[in-house]
Amino acid sequence: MNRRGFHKMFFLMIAFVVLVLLSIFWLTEPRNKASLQALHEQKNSPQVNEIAKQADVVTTPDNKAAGVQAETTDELRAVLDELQPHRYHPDPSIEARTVLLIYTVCSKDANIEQWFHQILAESQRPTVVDDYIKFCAEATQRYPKLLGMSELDVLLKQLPTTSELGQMVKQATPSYDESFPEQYRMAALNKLNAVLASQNSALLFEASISTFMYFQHGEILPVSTWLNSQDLEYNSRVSSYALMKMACRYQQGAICEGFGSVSMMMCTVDNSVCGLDFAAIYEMQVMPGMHKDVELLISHLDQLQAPK
Amino acid sequence: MNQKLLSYLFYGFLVAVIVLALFLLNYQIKHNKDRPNNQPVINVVSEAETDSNVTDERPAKTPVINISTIETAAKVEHSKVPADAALSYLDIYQQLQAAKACSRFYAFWRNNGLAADVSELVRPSQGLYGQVDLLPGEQVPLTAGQTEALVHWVQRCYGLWTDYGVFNAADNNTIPINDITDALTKKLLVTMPKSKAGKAIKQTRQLAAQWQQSFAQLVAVLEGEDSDDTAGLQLLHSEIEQLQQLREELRLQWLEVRHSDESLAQSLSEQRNDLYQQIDQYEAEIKSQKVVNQTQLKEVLADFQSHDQALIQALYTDVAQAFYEALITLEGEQTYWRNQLGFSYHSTQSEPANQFRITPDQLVFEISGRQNRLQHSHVLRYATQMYLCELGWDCGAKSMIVQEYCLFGMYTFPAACGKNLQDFFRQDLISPNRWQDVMQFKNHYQELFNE
Repeated sequence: MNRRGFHKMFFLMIAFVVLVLLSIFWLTEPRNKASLQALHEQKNSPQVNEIAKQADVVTTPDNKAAGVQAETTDELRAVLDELQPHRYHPDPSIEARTVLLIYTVCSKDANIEQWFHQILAESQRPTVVDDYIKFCAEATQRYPKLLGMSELDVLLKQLPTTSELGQMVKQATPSYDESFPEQYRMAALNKLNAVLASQNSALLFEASISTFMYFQHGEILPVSTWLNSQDLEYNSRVSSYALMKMACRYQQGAICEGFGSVSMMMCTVDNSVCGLDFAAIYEMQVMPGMHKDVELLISHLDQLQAPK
Repeated sequence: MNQKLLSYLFYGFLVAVIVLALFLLNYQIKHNKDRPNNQPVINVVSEAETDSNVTDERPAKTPVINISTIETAAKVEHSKVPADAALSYLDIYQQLQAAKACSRFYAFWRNNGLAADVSELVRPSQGLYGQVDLLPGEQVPLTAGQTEALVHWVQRCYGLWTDYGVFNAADNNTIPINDITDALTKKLLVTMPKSKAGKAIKQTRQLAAQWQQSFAQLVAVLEGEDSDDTAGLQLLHSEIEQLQQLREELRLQWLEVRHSDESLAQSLSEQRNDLYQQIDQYEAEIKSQKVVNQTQLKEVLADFQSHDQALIQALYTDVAQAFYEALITLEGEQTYWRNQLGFSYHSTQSEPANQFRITPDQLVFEISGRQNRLQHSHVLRYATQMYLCELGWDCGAKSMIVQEYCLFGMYTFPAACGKNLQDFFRQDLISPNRWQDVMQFKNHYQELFNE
C-alpha cells in the first residue's frame, strides 16, 4: 500500500470506530419523544396545559386494571392549577401528596372526615376545635379543589408524575416472594434512599409509617449493628421516630405541627395528645434511652446521603 | 521500522478497539435488560458495613435430634416416683415449672412419636442484616448453641416424662396416658413446704387459685343473663351454628384451591368474610339483650377486689417464685410464654371484667410518670424479667426463660443460647441506650415491691 492508500484507510477506520461508539451510545440510552418531553418538563417549570395533555394520555396500570374512571379532566386541571406555583416540589403528584399530608385533617374525603371528627369529639383538650379551624383556614382557601376532593386515593393515582421520584412513589412496593427475598429488600432500600434524598416531609412521613418493611423480611440496612440491638421490633420503632424527626426538618416543619399528619398519627394512638405538635408528643412518649437511639440512627441515615 | 509493519500494527490496534467496543456493547445491552428501568441501583452501604455477616455459604444441615440420639435419656428407665418424697416442695415446684416449659415437647411427642426430630419445633430467627435467607420449605438451621440447648431440654423433659408418666403396657411404654403437669401439680398439693420460700410459694398459689375462681365469677356475671324470650334466642343460636358450619366448609374448600385457583380462592375468602360479619351481627344481637344483675355484680365485684388486693400484697416479697406466681396470675393467660412476662394488654372491649384487674406493670407504670403504657410494653417486660432475676429467679443459661429466647419465641435469638438472661439482654438484645430505660423501670419495681 502506498502512503495515500494508507491515509485513506486510516480515516475510514477512524470513521468506522466513531460510528460504532455512537451506536453503543444510542442503543443503550434510548431517546424517544416521551422521555425527552419528561426531561424537558423536569428541567423547566411545567405549564399547566402541557401537564394536562400528559394527564389525558397517561393512565396508570392500576386504573386500567381496576377500570376506575378518571376524575373529569376539568377537575384534574383545576387541581393542577391550584398546585401552581409549587411550594414543595415541581412534580405535581409529589406536590399534591405533600399538601395532602400536611393538611390531611382539612380534607373533605369522607373517610378522613369521619375519622377526624371522632377524634375531635373524644379529645380531652378544650381548645382543640378552635385550633383545628385556625389550622385549616389558610389551607382551604389556597387549595379548595384539592382538599374538597372526595376520593383522594383516586386523585393521587390520576395525577401525572413528571419525575423519577414521583414514578417510584406512585408504584406499589412489589409483594414479597420468598424465593427472591433479596429483590424485595433491594426494592425497599432503593425506595427508602430515594425518599431520604428527596428531602420531602410527606415522603419521609410515609416511610416512617412503613418501617416494618425494612425489617420483616430481613433488615435492609444494618440497623441492629448501628444500635447494637437485635430487637427488630424496637429497631423498627426507632426507625419510625427517626424518619418522623427527619420529616420535620423540611417544608418548614409544617407536617409536624399540631394537625399535620405526623402529630395526627400519634393522636390516633393516644387522643390526649391531639393538637399538640410532634416535638411535644415526642418528648412525652419517647424515653431518654430511646431518644438517644433515634438520634444515633438519624446520624447514620444522614451519613448514607452524604456525598462520598 | 518500515511502513508496512507500522500499518499492520496500526490496523491490528484498530481491530482490537473495534472488538472491545462490540464486547462493551453486548455487555451493556445485556445489563440493561436485566435491570428494571425504574430501579436505579444505588449502593449506599459501605463495604465495611456490609462485611460483617455476609456470607454465601448455606448453613450446615441440622442433625436429627430425638430421644434415641441422646444417649443419656435413651438409657433412662421408667421408674416410680420415690414414695418417701425425697424431693422438697421447692424441688417439686421447679419440676412443675420445667414440665410446663416442656409442654410443647410433650405435645410434639404425642403427635409424632419419640423418634420424631424435635429440631422441627425450633422457630426461625429474625433476619439480621446480611444473614443468609432460608430457601422456601427449608428447615431452620440450628446454631451449635441452639443444638446444645435443645439437647439439654430434651433430656430434662424426657426425664420428667419417664418419672411422672403413667404408661400403658399395651402402648409399648412410650406415651404416657396421663398429663405430666397434672401429676406434678397433684404432687405439689400434697407436699408440705418446710422452707420459708416453699411456704411463700404455697400461700401465693392458694391466693392465685382463689383469685382465678373469683375472676371467673366476675366474668360470668358481667356477661349478663338473657332477658328476651328463649325461643327467639334459640333460633339465633341455631343460625349462628349453621353459619359457623358453612364457614368451616368454605375454609376447607379454600385450603384445597388456594394455590391452584386464585380467583375461586378469593371468592371463597369473600364469602367467609360475609359469614363472619353475619355471625358477628347475630352475636351482637344476643349480647345486646343480656342484662347484668346489678345486685349480684356488686357482691361478686367486692369478692374479686378483696382477692385481687390479697394477691397484689403477695407481690411484696423477696421470694422470686412467689413473686412469679402472683405476677402470672394477675397478668393472665397471655403470659404463657415466659419471654412475654411483664406486660399484657387487657382489652376491656372483649372482656369487660378486665377493667377491674390491676397488674404489676400498671402499678410500676403509674409511678414512672409516663403516659400510654402500651408504648412502653417491651421496656416493662424486660424490666420485669430483670427484677425477677434480681430476686433470685432462675435466669441462667439453661433456664426456662433463656430457652424461650434461644429456641421458641415468635422469633428466636440464637445469641441467647448459652448465656444468662442479663448478659443476653445487655450484649445482644437491648441497645446500650435503651438499657437505661429498662433499668429505670426495674428500679421502679424495686422501689415499689422491695423497699
